Amino acid sequence: MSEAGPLASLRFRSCIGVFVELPTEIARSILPGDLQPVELYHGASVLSAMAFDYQDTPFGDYRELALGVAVAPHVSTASAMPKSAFFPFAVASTSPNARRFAKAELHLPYHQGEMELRIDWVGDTASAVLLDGDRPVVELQATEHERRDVNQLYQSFMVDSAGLWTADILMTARFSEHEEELGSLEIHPHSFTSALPADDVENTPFREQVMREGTQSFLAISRLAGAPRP
Amino acid sequence: MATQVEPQSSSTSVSDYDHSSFYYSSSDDIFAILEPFNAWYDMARAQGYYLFAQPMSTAATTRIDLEEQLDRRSINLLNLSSYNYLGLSYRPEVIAAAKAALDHYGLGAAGSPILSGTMQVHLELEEALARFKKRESVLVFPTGYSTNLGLIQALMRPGDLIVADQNAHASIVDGAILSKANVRFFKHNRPDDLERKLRGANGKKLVVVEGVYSMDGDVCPLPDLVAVAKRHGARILLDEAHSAFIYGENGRGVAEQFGLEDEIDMHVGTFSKALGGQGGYLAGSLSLCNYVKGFARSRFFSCALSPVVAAGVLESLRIVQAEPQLRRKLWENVAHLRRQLTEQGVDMGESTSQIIPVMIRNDRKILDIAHRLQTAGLYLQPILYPAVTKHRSRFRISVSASHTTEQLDEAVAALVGVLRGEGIL
Repeated sequence: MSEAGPLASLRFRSCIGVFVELPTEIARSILPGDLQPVELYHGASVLSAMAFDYQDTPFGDYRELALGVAVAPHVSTASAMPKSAFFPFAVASTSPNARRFAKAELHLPYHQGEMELRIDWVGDTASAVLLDGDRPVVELQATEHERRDVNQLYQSFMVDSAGLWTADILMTARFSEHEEELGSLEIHPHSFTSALPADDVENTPFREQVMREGTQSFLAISRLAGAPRP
Repeated sequence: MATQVEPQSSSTSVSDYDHSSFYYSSSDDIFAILEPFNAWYDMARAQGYYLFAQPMSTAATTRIDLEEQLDRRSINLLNLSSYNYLGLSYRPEVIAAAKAALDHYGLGAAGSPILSGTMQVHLELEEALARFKKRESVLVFPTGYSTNLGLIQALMRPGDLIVADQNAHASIVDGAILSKANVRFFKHNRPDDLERKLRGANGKKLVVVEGVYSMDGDVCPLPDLVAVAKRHGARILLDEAHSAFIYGENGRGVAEQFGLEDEIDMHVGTFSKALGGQGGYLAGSLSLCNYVKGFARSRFFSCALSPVVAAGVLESLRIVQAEPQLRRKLWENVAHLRRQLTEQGVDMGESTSQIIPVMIRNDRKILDIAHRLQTAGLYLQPILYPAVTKHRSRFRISVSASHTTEQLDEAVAALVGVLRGEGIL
C-alpha cells in the first residue's frame, strides 16, 4: 500500500460468492502459464463467481460480477499471507466509469458489453443474475451461515498487454462462509462465459460466502512479469 | 522483513486461516511458506490447536492419563477417542503373544517382504486371516494406509477410471493419484450419482467404497452400489477399516452383513482398529494377491510389518473368533449410548455405527468446547475443516466393548453439561 492509502476503496452492501469444482484442464486453459490452479483433489480446480453490490463509491452505486479461478498465492518476505488468491478472467460491470477506471488502474478483464446484474434477497438467501437484455448469462445463489466481522487479505492476479499483475485486496465486512451445498451456479452460453464449457462446471457450490456492509480495498498493485507466457 | 500473518483483528485473524491456506504457494524458495505457516500455527496452537496430538502416557484404555499441552500438566480423562473397538490392544493374551515374538524374532523384520523380511509369523497371520475371511489369499501390508496406496497403484494405470465415494479416505485418494488413472468422486452414498459417473466410461473401471465411513460413522448402501458397479463392468474395492471384525454375524464385516462377500473383488482392512495393532491387509483371490505382491510399491519398497505386531494381531484375530460376546458387548454399548444421546437431543448426524459424531457445526466454537470437555474429564477429539467440510465440525465418539455402562453415562453427563453451557443443546 502506498503512503497515500489504498489505490481504491469501494463500499458494498453485499458480496455474494459461490465456489464450484472445475476440471483442472479447463482451469489451466484459462490461466496464464505463470499461475498454478489450486486443486480440491486431483483433477478438480476451483471456479469462483462473485457478485458485488457497490454503494456510495466515487462512481455511485453499481454492480459487478466476476468469474475467477483459484490459484496458488504468491508468498514473499515483503507481504502478509493472503487467505487465498484468484485469477479473475471475466468481469461484468453496470458502471462504464467504474469499468474504465478498473481496467486502466487495476488491470481487470472487463467485458465491454452493457449488462444488468440483479441481486435479490429472500431471508438468508441471496440470488444474483447477470443478464444480457433478457437473457441470463450467469445465475448464482448463496445462503448465509453464522456471521462474524472480518478483515481478510486476498490476492488477485491480472494479465493484460503490459504484463502479469498482482494486487492485495483487503475485505472488511460481516462475513459468512459454509459448505452445506445449499446454493447453485448456472452458466449460460455467452461471450462472457466462453472460457467455460457449461457441462464441465458443477452446479452445486462446495462453498458459499456472503459478505455484507463492507469495504473492498485494493492495497497495492505490482507487476510480476512482462507479457505472460502463453 | 519476514513474511508475516498480520492480525487485523485479534478475534478473527487465526480463524481466517487453516492448514489448507498454507498448502499452495508460489515462490522461488520451497521454504518461503514455512515462516507464515509457523507464525499462524503459533497463534492457532494457543487458541485451541494444542488439543491435537496431546501425548498419552498410558495405554489407549477407557481411562487415560494425558499430558495437557496448554498448562503442561497430567490429567486423567474418560477416553472416547481411541478406535480400540474391542479393547484388544491391551488384552493380556495379545501382549503375551507380542512379548513372545519379541523374544523370538527381535523388534523388526529387517527387510522388505519380498526379500528377507517375510517371517513365519507373517505367513501364519495371512493364512489365519484368509481362513477367517473365507478368501483364497491374504496379503499383509505394514499399514492400512499403504494397503490402499499400494493396491490401487498396483492395479490401475493412466487412462483407467477410478470412481470413489466423495468421503473416501486419504489413502484411497493418494493411491488414485499415484496410479495416474482418471479419478471421479460420486456424491457420498449415492448409487444414482455413481451410475452417473460411470455412464459412458470405457476401459478398466474400479469402484472404491468403504464399509463404515470414519468421519460420519455411516454405513455404505452396499447392495445398491454393487449392483451399479456390476452393471458397468467395474471391479469393486471395499475398505472395511472401521467395520471388519465387528460387523456381520461372524465379524467378517459389512460385506458379510449384506451377504455380498463373494461380490466384492478386493476386501481391504486394517489391524489398527478392532484388532488393536497396526498394519493392513488385502483379501481376495490367490491370483490377485500374487499380482499385487509383485507390483505394490508401498509394500515391497517398505520394511515388512514388525513380527512383534504380527504376532499380537494374530492373537487378536484368534480372540475375535473365540469371543463373539465382544461384538455383542460393543453393540450393546453403542445402543445404550445412542439412547442416552437421543434422549438429550444430541445431533449424531447420519451415524448408525460405533463411530458417533456429536455435531457442533461451528468451526469457531468447537475448540473452546473441546477444552471445556477436557476440563470436565472427557477426552473427545474435535474434528473440523479441512478434515470435514466447513461448519460440519464435530466430536467423534469411538465406542469400545471395554466401556462400562457407568462410564458411558458419565460421558453423556459431562458432554451434555458442556454443550448446554455453550448453547449447543
